[in-house]
Amino acid sequence: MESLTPKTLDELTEALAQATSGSRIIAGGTDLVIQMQRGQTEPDLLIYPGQIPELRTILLQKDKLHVGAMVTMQELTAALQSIPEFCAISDAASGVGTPQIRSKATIVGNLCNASPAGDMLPIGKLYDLKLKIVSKDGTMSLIPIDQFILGPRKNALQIGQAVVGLTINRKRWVGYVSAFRKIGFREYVSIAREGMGALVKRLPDGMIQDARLTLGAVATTPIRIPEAEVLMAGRVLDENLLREVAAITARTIHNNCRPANRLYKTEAAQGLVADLFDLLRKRT
Amino acid sequence: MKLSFCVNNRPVQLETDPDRRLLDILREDLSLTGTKEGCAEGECGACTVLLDGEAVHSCLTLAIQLGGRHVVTIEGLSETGELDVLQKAFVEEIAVQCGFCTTGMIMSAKALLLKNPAPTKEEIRVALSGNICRCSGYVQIVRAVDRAAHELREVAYGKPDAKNTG
Repeated sequence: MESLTPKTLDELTEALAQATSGSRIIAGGTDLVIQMQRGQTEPDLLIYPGQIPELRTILLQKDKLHVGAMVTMQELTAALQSIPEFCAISDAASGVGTPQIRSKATIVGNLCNASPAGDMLPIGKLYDLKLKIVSKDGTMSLIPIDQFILGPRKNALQIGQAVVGLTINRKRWVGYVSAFRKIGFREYVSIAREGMGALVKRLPDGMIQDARLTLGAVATTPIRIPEAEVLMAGRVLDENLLREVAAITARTIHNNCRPANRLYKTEAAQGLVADLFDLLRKRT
Repeated sequence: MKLSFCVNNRPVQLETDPDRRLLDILREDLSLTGTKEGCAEGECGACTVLLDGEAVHSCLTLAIQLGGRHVVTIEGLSETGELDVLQKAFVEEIAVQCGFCTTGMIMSAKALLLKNPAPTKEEIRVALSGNICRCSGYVQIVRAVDRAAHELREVAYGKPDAKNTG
């Protein structure tokens, strides 16, 4: 096995020029190493971009958030947990795996891995995030999350391309509060059986102006709940709204998840929405 | 690949494969067998070490990720010949039964105390949530970390404090 550890973006493009269909980029390695140990992938070339300073940077500006591809779940949690519009990201990042996983695993790696249960997929869809991609000829491009996640463990990266970071249009979400909750087999260390993200903008009297809801680990790619989003506008986060949103969420899950999981996941939606509403109310 | 990194404050240079696990480098190449292999897939926490001060699984860390970085293993906690405060607390609280999970527990606790010298019981439990013990139970382990935190603060500030009521 060959290996390359580029230290600059230019060196990364040079490394990408050597990549074949069997080459892999390793970030935190918390998914890839397991796949390698199980013999599911045997890379001819392993590229580790962890020594490129730009890829380790979180840039929080008034109008946008940029997160480098090597930023860990733990770093992301610490950076965003007190910013109302980005709390959902820290909720999700702080619930991935264990402390040992969160100190290595990256948000970009989670997106690239594209597991339907990946916590960052509904987060990506919640914020319409875009992935910044570099190609072996040095060109940079931005790809919206919907065009990047193609299906279970399938992303849009082509041979000779790598994700260097992601960007969120912060201006779009100023004034919103956000939250993410997931349901797993236990509170810690669990893989999502169902995850839900919310962004809500309220007037001073509590009336909802605009809302967005996404679901993860239900369909093969994350989905929105447009019917509930429309319903929430003009309402307050009370028990009546909770019941109605939970019913729509349950129906959406029923229509989108595999039959084998339908009963459990539909039932669990009630608790998931209640938990999410709780968090949103606390974050007024 | 040629690998240069630091283990327990000592520089290490190795010719190794890029996909060699840190766990194997420690145990087989450097004879640091205090780090244990449990599940080998990042579930049990027995192989936990510090990488640049953060708790990581040495079974999921490859040589290619290690260049220029600093690893601390359980051996690194008692290099002077005297046990670390955490190690002593585990002994005092009888937080050890078979001992297989203990080094990983202590390294996770070390990572916590490096960042948060006054953790609540809940913060201790979260910090240890990636470490599984199947024989002694967690009560004594949490108590041992709490005790170590108190003792470290006493050393630092010279008096006990009342914050840590968990």
